[in-house]
Amino acid sequence: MNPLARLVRLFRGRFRRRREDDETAEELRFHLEMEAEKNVRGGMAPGEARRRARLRLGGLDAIREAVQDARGGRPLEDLIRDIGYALRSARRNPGFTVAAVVSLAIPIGFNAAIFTVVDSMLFHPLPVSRPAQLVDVYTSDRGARSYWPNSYPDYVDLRAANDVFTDTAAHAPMRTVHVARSQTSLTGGVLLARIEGDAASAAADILREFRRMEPDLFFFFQGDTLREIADVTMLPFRIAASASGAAGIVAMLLGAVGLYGLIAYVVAGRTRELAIRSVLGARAGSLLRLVLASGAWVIVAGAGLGAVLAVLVTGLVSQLMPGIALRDPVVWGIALLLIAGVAAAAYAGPARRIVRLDLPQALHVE
Amino acid sequence: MGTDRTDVLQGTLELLVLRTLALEPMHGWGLAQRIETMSGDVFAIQQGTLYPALQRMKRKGWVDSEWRITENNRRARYYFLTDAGRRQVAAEREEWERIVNAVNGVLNWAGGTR
Repeated sequence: MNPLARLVRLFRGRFRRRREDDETAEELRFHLEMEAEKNVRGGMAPGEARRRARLRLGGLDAIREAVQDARGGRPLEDLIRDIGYALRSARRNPGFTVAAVVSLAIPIGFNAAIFTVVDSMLFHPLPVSRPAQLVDVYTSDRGARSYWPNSYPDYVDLRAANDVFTDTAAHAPMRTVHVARSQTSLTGGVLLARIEGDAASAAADILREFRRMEPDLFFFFQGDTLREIADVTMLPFRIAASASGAAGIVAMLLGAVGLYGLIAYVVAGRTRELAIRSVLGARAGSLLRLVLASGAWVIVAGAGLGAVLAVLVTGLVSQLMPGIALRDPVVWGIALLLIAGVAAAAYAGPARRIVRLDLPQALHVE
Repeated sequence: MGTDRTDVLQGTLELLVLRTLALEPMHGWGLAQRIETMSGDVFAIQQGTLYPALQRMKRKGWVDSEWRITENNRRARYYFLTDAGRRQVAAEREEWERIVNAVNGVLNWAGGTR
């Protein structure tokens, strides 16, 4: 069935069900009248007759609900009713709604950003493939007296004449002309080369190759791969990233505890309302759904705001630390799932306890 | 409500409703009265359970309903058996007799131990 026809059918179903619900109400009214008239015929006063009739039949809302359930699924009704209820309860208690949404959004947003940094620093440190097979090539000062160390011609020669490296790359600042070393104090560019196999064992081959190509230059090569270099230079950043990651986890756990407390408190404050609904004939399942529906709204709003925050914060961070972008769905997911899960538990836990209570008794307690 | 009345056994409500509707189409209240009368006032129908049960049977295709005017000139929803409902009465009756015979067999056992 195409989506439009499906929608039309859903809505038509909605109207049909509303009519059926009205008919059930009329049917039950008829039943009460008949029963009351029978009681009057038996000698009861009209008021008492109606009261007995209602007792005999049972809670009208509960019967209507049971009839609807027996009739089959009403997904759209339930959804529309739940959303409406959630919005009304959000409006009724704006302070709580704002507090809950913000306490969801901030941990999600900032932790997604922090974890993104940690992830880039610790788990994906180098944005190149096989960094253990990239070596840093540099020439000595002595060898570079006549030529600029790691000059562009060096790079071109290396590229053209070698048969040890599978690929080479150079990084600015790199001069395109030879300049005598004595004329300037600037240092040279970075020359990277890719090798196959183990860097250390290839060292001798590499040195021999260099000397063959440029007998006048004295090349240094110690088998330092890019990974080893990065391990040293990035150590302070990694320590910082680990520390902020740990702080982020602690902050998120604290936020989760606070959020749980906030939500549980508000749900507990609804004991009276739930008790009244229960006495009027709502069943435990619908009460639970009611509470969860108002929670779902808060969770969705909080997660959405959190996602916006995460993008903004990561944008700021990536201006300071190039190469960091919010791209890893796992990183996103962890913060989102944890916080949203805690919020859902905070709704469901107390709500289930309340629903299991002897509700009329709960009314007396209050 | 008398204390000597018995709540309708779980699962037998549908059989009672089907059997009663086999007499003639009826509205919900009439159905409840008729079942109580026919059982010699032994069964107290929990009237509230009657309507969901009717709805379930309607969904199974055993009964159907339509709005009619009562003899007192009121609008009421009447339920009536479908063909499938009539077959179901027979099937449930057989099942019921099987159970009753089995229970009687146990209660009236005089053959000693085997």
